[in-house]
Amino acid sequence: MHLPGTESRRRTLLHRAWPRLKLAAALVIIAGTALLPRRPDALYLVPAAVLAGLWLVCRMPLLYTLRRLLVAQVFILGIAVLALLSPAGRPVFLATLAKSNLCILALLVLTWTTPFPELLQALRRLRLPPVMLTTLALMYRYLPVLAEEARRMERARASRTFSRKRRSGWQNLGAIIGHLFVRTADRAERIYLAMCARGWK
Amino acid sequence: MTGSPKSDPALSGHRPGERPGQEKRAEPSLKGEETVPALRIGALSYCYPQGRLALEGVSFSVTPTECIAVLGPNGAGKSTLLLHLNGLLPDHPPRQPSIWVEGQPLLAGTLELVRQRVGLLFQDPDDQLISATVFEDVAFGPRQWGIAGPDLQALVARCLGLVGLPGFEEREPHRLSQGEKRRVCLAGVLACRPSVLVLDEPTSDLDPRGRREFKALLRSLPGAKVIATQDLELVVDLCSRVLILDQGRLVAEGPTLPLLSNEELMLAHGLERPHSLLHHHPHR
Repeated sequence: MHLPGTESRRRTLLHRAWPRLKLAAALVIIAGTALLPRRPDALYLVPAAVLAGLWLVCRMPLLYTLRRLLVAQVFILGIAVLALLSPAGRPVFLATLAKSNLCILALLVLTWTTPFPELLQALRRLRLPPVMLTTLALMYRYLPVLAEEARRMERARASRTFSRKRRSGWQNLGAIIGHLFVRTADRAERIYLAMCARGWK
Repeated sequence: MTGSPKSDPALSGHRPGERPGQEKRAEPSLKGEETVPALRIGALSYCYPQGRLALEGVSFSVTPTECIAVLGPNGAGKSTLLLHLNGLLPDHPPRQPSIWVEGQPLLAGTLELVRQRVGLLFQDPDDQLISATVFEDVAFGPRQWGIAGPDLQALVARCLGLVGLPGFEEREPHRLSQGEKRRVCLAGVLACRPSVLVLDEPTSDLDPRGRREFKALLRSLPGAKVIATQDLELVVDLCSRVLILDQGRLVAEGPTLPLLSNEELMLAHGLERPHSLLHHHPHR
């Protein structure tokens, strides 16, 4: 699993910029975009142009960006389609699509140029509640562990799968997900104990 | 992989009769009466919530310089015992203490103190390494005790130096090797400045080199150590005394070499005589 980290990064001007500044700028862009009128409007070109400029400066790969935007579309469309149900919902639908994608793009530029640990530091300086910070930090730390665990289970399953029936495939996937939940709950318990052992309150 | 902080004494010629752990063993018996044990367990019993008895009347003590091993088959209660030493089990500390750390009873009021004095290294490093960077992780404990700023940075640097990983502060835990992860975990425990180190299977998933280096690292650390392990060679090399647990009961206790050489006893409790005690090893 690829997570942008402190290593293996091409360094551009934006990468070197102050993390807190980048975080604040991203929040300003997101808030500004959210406040735009709820219909297609020329004003949308402003954040779009700013983000396009930043994108060019930070040299974020096109495929990297599109893949992540594509994942977000599932959620964005899910919400935006609701607007189509109301009378004259088309402008709202289009505005929701544009707004959400611009906001996601702003976050992508931020996370591409700022290693996650630095982002956490910046959030800590901005006095985000510690519980939220811990949750974010734990998520970042354990996503690769979970992905690795899922990969191992999938491999073990594949080595004992001899038919290509789609139905049993889905059943197996369900079993893996269920198993992963149980294992994750166990691990969460052990992590909590390990945190307590080092003075966590 | 970085080298161990000291050259491995196991490679520099110890004869079977004079292993390092055994030289230490003479000390407590000379002045045993005056020294407060680093750890004392008195009639410790524990029942799991499901009702299964996990520990029954376990008693022993550890002197401040001693390294002892806890052996036993899987499910004997080793890990459960170790969790007790740090006050992680039972969920609420009992009214009647059964554990004393440097003379302090483990009660609800002394829980934090005990957790600082007893450093617990968990079996799976991924359970213990919780932060986004190595620095954050080693700093996790000291931050809880209120250390910050340059003091914290110096402490983290010193602990990483102790475990042979200087300059690893900005590395990310999920990109480390298994051996490096273990060392970072140990640095995180050392940063809390414990007087007793409690280690659960510290060499279980290391390759032979990692095991050798980690063993040398453990030997270089002062203070009392309690090691639960299946790695009998580690026990022979490091520990002066052995406890054998089986089905939650302490079935044997004594100096390492005589106990581990007792084949009948070892086999009866799912163990075996370590290879190094079966044959004469000219290079030791």
